[in-house]
Amino acid sequence: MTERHTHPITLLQMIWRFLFLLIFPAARGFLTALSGGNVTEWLGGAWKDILIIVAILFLAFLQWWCLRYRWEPVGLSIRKGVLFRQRMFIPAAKIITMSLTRPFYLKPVGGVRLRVDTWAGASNSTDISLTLPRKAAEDILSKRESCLTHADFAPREYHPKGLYIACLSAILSSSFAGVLFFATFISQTGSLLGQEFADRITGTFERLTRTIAWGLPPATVALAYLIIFGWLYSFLRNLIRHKNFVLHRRKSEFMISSGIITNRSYSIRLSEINYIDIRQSLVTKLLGLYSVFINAVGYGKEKDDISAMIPANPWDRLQRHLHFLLPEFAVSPRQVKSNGGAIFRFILDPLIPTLTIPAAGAVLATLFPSWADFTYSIVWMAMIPCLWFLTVRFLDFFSSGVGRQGDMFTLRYSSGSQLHTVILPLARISQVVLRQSPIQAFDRRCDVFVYSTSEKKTQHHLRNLDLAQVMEIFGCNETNALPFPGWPKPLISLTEYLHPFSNYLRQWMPFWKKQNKNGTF
Amino acid sequence: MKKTTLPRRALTLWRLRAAIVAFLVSFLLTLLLSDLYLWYQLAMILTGIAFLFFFCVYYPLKQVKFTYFLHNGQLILDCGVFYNRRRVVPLDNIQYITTLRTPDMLPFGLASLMVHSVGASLYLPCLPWADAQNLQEYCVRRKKHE
Repeated sequence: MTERHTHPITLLQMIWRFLFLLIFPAARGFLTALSGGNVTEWLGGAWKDILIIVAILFLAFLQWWCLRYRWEPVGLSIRKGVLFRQRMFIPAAKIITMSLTRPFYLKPVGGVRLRVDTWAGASNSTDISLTLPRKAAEDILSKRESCLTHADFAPREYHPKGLYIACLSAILSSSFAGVLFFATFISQTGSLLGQEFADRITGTFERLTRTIAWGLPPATVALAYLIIFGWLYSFLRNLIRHKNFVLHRRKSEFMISSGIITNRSYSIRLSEINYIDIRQSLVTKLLGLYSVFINAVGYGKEKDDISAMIPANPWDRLQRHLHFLLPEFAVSPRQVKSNGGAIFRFILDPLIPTLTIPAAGAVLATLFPSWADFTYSIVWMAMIPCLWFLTVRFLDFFSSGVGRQGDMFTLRYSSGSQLHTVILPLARISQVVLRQSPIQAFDRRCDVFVYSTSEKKTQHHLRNLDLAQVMEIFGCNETNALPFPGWPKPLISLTEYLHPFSNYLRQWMPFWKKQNKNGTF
Repeated sequence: MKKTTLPRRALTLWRLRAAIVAFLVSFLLTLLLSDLYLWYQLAMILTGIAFLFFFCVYYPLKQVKFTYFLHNGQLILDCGVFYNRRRVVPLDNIQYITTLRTPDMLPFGLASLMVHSVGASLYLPCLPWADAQNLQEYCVRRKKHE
């Protein structure tokens, strides 16, 4: 295949790089005005400005002309640079994720952004990003697909229902993003359309909140509406992003596409999936719905990327879909879990603000009685996330733990307001850290941090598990330590305190190994 | 599987470092705060307490608790001072290892190791130079799934 140019729209990106040269015409105009010159004098030197604009266009064109790409069966080669020539070759076998993005502004000109990601490169940006004509980009993607497809494997397809897409959008929505958008919108309106227009918007919002305050302090209502509208804005964005979600499973590839205004397609090499994450928020926990996300290099990397695999489903249906689409990643039952006494280890973090915020509110209301109504309403609003977090930790206490089936681990834990069930292959574990606090030492328990291989540092934190069981399940029990079954446990010796991992109680046969012998797994 | 602990000279090096830092801090305090008698006294006492804490408690505990060994295709490191930590790194995932020798390590024949794997890293401080080299050679040159 011959070398090709990228889409001519790339010229605009190139022009953007040289726009700083416009400082010379601007400086000339400024200096002419400063030295008392008139328009005629300025026009006399206009040829210099025109020359600079021509130079910008010429340099941009030259850069675009020298930027060429070629897709071969063995990989993607790119050539760029005018004076400093660069030649880049990415082997096809090293490409983990290849994606096509069609933003609404590129649709009229038939442009598509092709992104290529490998293990190398920065963790927060794409390794290669090219704007290509749609046909050429789709051609590259289909050639990659044909490499990863096999005739003896029947392709599988998954179309989720619209309701489940809406559920996923709700899970992913956060008020913060929306509030940030509205705050920027209102502040920027002043500078773009004038202060009067910005004041009008703020005034309308103020009148609206006063009208529908229902006896509550207007400031509280304004804050509440801002959060609600912020969440709705975020929800709509996610809905638009995930609409028309389709997943195709081929022999060695996942092909995911979605979006209405901006269309996105991702081709992920299956062997390079780091882990899958089954997530639940508090609301979806109550509704009995689960969402599955994939962690792979280049998937869900940029701000507006999608990272879901199965939007939202009840557990039975999710298991069926997972078995149908990705049977390699099977959920195993909880084999190591927290003991009853560990509840405080789970709820302590949310319990502190849950108790201190009302106390602080009561003190403030006593000190400033005229602000009491406002203070109490703010306390109520602050209590919602605290209680939310507390409930999540309660649920986490009853569900957290580790399971293992062959070389596949299932980690159940909570992080923030989400409950996670992570299915992680042994080969994708980068580091396991068992951390025992002085209090946990007396109970022979520890927190477990599992780091998975990823471009970024990814940590899974499991709380208060039995030390010997954890060492056994992660294969680092070199002394064949055994958990003590009775109660009360004997006090630890100084030797055990100093070296808890190698001086545990006595030898035992772990139950999952026994099950292996019976062939139940 | 042979468990390796830190040599006694690692503790001597840490204590020496603590003594140098304590001396420098005391020197600076004397230079800057000697006019403010109360604050000077307070700062000197705090420096002394911190020095004694590191000299008598922190570094001895750190040295005693530090052990590393190879087991089941993994590099296992037991460490921590007040919290106990076991760090487990699968050898297959190690990308490269860096040795680090500061000038004060040279007379003691010590070196530190930085083990880099995808998505995580591990620091092994003040190992004997020969052990550090052996470990580096073994981890980097071993064949996968050996």
